[in-house]
Amino acid sequence: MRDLAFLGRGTLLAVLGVLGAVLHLPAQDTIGVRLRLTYEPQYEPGFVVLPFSGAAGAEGAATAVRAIVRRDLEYSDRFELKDAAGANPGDPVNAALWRERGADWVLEGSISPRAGGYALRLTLHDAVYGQVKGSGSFDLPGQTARGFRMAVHAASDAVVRWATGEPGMAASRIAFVLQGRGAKDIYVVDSDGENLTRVTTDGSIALSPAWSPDGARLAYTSFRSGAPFLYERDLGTGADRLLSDRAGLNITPAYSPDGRTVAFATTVAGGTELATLGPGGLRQQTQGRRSASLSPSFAPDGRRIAFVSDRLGEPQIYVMELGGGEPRLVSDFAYGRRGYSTSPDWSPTGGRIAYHSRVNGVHQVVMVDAGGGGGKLLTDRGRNEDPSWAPDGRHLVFASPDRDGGGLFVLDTVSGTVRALQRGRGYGLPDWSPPLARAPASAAAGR
Amino acid sequence: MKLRHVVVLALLPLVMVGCRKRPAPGTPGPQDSTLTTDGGGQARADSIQLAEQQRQERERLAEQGRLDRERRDREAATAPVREVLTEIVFFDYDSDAITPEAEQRLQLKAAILRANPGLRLRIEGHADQRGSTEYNLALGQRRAEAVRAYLADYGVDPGRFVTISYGKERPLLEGEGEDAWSRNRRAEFAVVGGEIVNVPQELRP
Repeated sequence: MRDLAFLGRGTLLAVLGVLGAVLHLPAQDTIGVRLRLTYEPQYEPGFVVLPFSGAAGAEGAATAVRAIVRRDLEYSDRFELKDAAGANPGDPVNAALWRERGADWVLEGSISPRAGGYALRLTLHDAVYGQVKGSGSFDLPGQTARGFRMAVHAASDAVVRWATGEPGMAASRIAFVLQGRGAKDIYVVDSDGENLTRVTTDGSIALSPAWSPDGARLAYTSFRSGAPFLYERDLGTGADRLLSDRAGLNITPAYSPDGRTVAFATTVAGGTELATLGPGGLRQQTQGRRSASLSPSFAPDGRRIAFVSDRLGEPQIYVMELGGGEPRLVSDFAYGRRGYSTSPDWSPTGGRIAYHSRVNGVHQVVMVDAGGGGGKLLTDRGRNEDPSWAPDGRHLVFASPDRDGGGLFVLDTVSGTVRALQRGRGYGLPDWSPPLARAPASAAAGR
Repeated sequence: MKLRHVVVLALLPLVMVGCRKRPAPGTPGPQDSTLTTDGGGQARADSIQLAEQQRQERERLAEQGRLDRERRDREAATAPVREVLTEIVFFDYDSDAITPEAEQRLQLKAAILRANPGLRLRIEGHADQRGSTEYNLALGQRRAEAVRAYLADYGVDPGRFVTISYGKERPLLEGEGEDAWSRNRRAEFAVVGGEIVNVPQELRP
């Protein structure tokens, strides 16, 4: 669709190609098969967010909303954000002028007060074709209301969809574990790093938070009763429900896409096995015979899971059909390469499984095609662990104890761009939520 | 000295009368019928009863003191045994195999457990910092289960153990490097029921 724009930037692409060749950093694996960090240079279309016009009583909101939307578009890693210098709120849109200044997309916005909040109107202009690509109205609650930022993020995701036809990830949150003084607790933060909220206050060890598909609940493990039991927290009411308190382990929960089943790992006859807890009760899913199977992640079809097993010695990633399927190894994508591999996460958009694998003795984030093969090293600086996919199926959040002082980081698997989400020591086990707010039906794509 | 005791005992009933619980209606009191109208007689009876109660209390305390001393003596005598019983065993990297060194320690534990059938233990499995958080929980569990199975092979009912894994959440030593790692790959032991009453042959001097 943007072929013309690509052709127009042939020279730039050639330059980027040379840069890209320099950026192909080799990483030697211990076993001898080379894993390379390979990000193709990306063309990012120019994008200008014009100053939003605010009706009387909505001027402040117009500035605040524009700032959120602009940063969301920047964090989407799909555009090169251009300065809107010289533009005034309410000016008629001159797409040709912005095209000359390098913008392929021009976003126009206006805000007016309505009962209980604001109405945000957005129009996306395709400056290359001189057309309106999408427009819509979004109801926002008051600026101090809890859902305000998330409603704006949903509008940003609609803009991403108009421009690219793909889902965004702004309207989402990340649950994670943070080591405090002698305790580990679960926290939640918005995808843009705002609204940090503490979820557990047990003074114990809480681990492995997992979002329900409706974004209303978190399943997690806590030692607060003296052993690792599985709980479900209702984020609306704050109430906890015990899911499993079997002897031994009750760990690494994952919800099925329909939200009715939780897969987890539990101790069976001295071994760690996968089980599902759903409408049919508790069902054992693996027969490891004293080897460990754990860390399940559902495919979007809900019928298959990726998981960790050490049946061959070191832990590896397998894919298996639920209900008695044969596990298939997927983390040996490079022949003979069998580094310690754990923490799989199946992309919500389908085709890929991310996990971390030991490369040169250090954990690095890797992804493979769900069908096996297509392995790609995604990080090579510091120790990088426990990746989790964003709802756009493009970004990953991961934890690092030592990259830039440690923290949680968001990686764009297409461009390789990394930004810090939380900084400091003791962050771990992030899980990225499903979309938590969607644009209303009135936000339709144009044309 | 003796005199003062008498005075105190004589005064106490006056205080105690008010505190005494009234007998329920219809239930005969301890000194029924004969002393009902004689207030002085009631006080004397109460005094006698109180002296008896205090004697019993003193005896009870003396008995408890004796038991406490015995327990402390026994604990002192069995402290080395307890130490052997709760001594940590260590593992190789990413392994739940019982090492020769661990084997020696576990055989002594098995002897203590066989000699003291009332003892119950919690076995805690731990892992070092290198592996993944979640996988290390499974590894710690497997170490605890391997210890349980080993002790069962040496004649201890596996039902006398509870196992728990802390993964890498409770390191013995903080920090990186083989020194810390090798100390953190371990199983710990805690007595959760029963007492050490017998010292097994293997531990006698």
